[in-house]
Order: sequence, then structure tokens, then C-alpha cells
Amino acid sequence: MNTSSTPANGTSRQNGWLRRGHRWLGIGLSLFVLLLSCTGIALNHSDNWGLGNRYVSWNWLLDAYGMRAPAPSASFSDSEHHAALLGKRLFFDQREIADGVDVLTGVVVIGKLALVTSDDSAFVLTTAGELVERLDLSQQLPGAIDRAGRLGESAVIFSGTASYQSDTGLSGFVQTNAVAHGDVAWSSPASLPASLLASIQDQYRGRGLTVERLLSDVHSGRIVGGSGPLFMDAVAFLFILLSATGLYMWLRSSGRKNGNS
Amino acid sequence: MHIARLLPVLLAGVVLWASPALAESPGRYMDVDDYVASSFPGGRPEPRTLWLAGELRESVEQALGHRFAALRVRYWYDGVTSAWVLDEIGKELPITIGVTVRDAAIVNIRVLEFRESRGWEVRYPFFTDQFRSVGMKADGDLDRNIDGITGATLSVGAVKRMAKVALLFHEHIQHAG
Repeated sequence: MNTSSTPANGTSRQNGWLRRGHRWLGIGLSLFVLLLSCTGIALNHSDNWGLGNRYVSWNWLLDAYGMRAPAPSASFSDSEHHAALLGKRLFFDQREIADGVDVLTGVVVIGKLALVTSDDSAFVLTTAGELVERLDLSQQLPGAIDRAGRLGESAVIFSGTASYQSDTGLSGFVQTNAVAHGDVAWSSPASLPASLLASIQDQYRGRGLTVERLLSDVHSGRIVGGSGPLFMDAVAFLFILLSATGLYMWLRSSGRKNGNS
Repeated sequence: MHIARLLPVLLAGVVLWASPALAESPGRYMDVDDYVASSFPGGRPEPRTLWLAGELRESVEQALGHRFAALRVRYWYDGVTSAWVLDEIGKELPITIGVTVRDAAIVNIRVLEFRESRGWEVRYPFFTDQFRSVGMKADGDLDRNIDGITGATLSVGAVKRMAKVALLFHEHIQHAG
């Protein structure tokens, strides 16, 4: 009967490679522990830190993400002012004025005010691009806004078969039968000047990738492409293995101490 | 107990746990017209516009913690009660909120439209009813603590900010006569 506290040779070899394996696994995974801990903490506090509203502006990273500004799906101009829709982001001259817009149907300039119309809203702006008010017309109109135009000092929008005319302050629209279609200077599509297009496309890219998204992609492994998450799954499995080997060694060590005491 | 016997129970549990999330979705819960009509049972007044400038704009932007996006705001006012429909960004997209104010206190708040995938719990009465009879303190804060909702911090913040803004607007139009 072996009464010595030293384990038998076979067990000693097993513990030896287990300890070495555990040690090298820990060293190898330490970088991932740091990475996941730091990105995880940041993501946990993303709302408080406003990471969803901070944007990455490194061109090389935006290029790697394939973040390219699309060509405008629609653009209109009036009195040397321009409106354009890139993706779902609406621009008036150099200024982004709204997100989540599906369709751009026209721009009309009346005095010091401009009216930019989507399919269900009219954005009243100063000619400097400041938003005066967004008029949600979806409940007032029978359907989508088809086109917008100018009649004297008021704006006219056409929806379905009906015309709606604004007051001079562009504070609202009222249905009217008194407007002759031919009397209205309807807004028509027009290309943007190249310099303006380049400027708003730069703006589009600059607000395309949030810090939160970048951290999330690093955390999940998506940053390196489709196989990244699988790789991080493998890393997670190794974490489990590290925990299991550590726990096993601790239990064995505790068992031996209890046996010896 | 054999794991195979536990599986249906576990699966049912997961479905039940997830079902509220599956059932709910962002969307338009109430039209502006309907909200305004509900705020004025005796007849809806004509809409008016309030231009934000000077001290009013400063107070509003202080309450918001950021620039107020528009230069003017539409509202309904019968001399006693005012109703406001305001947009405020929760996390990334605006939440449309209706606020009715009378006697310097909130009569009701309704979430009219919610566009984000999380935080829509703020639409429920268990949250919005907290704002009934809430006014504003001299320091610009609400005069009652509003309990938050776990996982909807940004939406809760947006609703609270809009409550303050509506109270400021109401105070302004009352003094303006």
C-alpha cells in the first residue's frame, strides 16, 4: 500500500501535461480575454457613453467595410438650391436634414423658405438649411405625395388626384380645386453639381459606421469576415476547456490535501 | 429526470419567455389626429405654431441636453389645455410622443409612434401613467420621480425630456396670452 503523499508516476505525468497545457492555454488566450473584456465593458455601457452616436471616420476602415456612399436615388433643384436622397438620408444643399426617408418627390423655394417633399412628409426649411418644421401629411393626404411645385408665393403638392396648397408661411396645406395644373411650376429632377455630390457622399460615409458597431464586430469576430464568429466560437470553447482543466486540477489538489490531513 | 423529458418543458418555457418580444414590434400606435381629439373632448381647436427663439429655445435645449431640431412647433390650445406632438431620438430613431398639459401639469402622455426595435415598453400605461399630474420644479426638473424600465433607458429618457419640453412650451404660451 502506498502511503506516500507523492502520487504514482502515471498520475504525475498526467498532471504534468495537464498543468502545462492549462498554462499554455491560458497564456495563449490572455489576449482574447483582454480583447473580449474591454469590448464587452464598452458594449455594456454603450448607451451611457453614446457609442451608437459616435462615428468612425478612418477612411481605410470605412473602405474595408465597403462603406461607399450610394448614388442619389433622386435629386431636385430650385433657385440654385438642391435636394438629394442618398439611401434613406435626405440632404438639402450640403446639409443632412433627415434619415429614414424612402422617397424624394421635390424641392420648392419660396422666398426665404424651402419645401422638400418626400412621399408622406414636407420638410419646411430656411434656405440656409435649418429645419423649420416637418409636416407629417400621411394622415391628411389620400396617398403619397406625387409632386411638389410653386404657385406664386405658395407651395402646391399633388397627391393622387387632388391638389393641396400651402399658405405663404408653409405652415400647412389645404385641399384646393382652384389650382390649375398648368399654372404650377412643378419641381423636376435635376442632377447635382459634382462638388456638392462629392461633399454629401463624404458626409454619408462619415456617418455610416458607429463606434458601437465596430466594437460589436470586434467582440463577435465579424470584423474579419464570415469565419470570424466561428473562430470566436472556437476561442470560447478553449475558454471552457481552460476553466474545466483549472477546476479539475483544483479539485484534485483539494482532494489530495483532504486525503493527507 | 431524463433530459429528453425535460426538453419539451424547456422549449415551452423559452417560447413563453420570448413571446412578448415576438408579439410586440415598433409601429404607429395612435394617429396624431386621434390623440389631439382625445385631448379636447369638447372640440378640437385649430392648430397653432410656436416659434422657438431666445430664452424659450435656451430653456428647451437645456432640458433636452441638445439642440432642438426645429424652428417652430405645432400645437393645439383652447386657452386652458394644450396638446403637443413631439419627436425625440431614443437611441437612433425618433419616438413620436403626444403630451397634454393643463394647469402647469401633465394630463397625459402617449407614445404615438415607436420606430426602434427595443425600448417600446414605454408605450404602456404602467409607464406613461406615472406622468399624470407631474409638473416642473424651479430647477427645470420634473417634480416627481419617474421609475425607469430596464432595457429601455434611452426611451425612458426621451419621454421624460419631452415631458419637460411640453411643460416649458405650455408655460410659455400661457404667459404669452
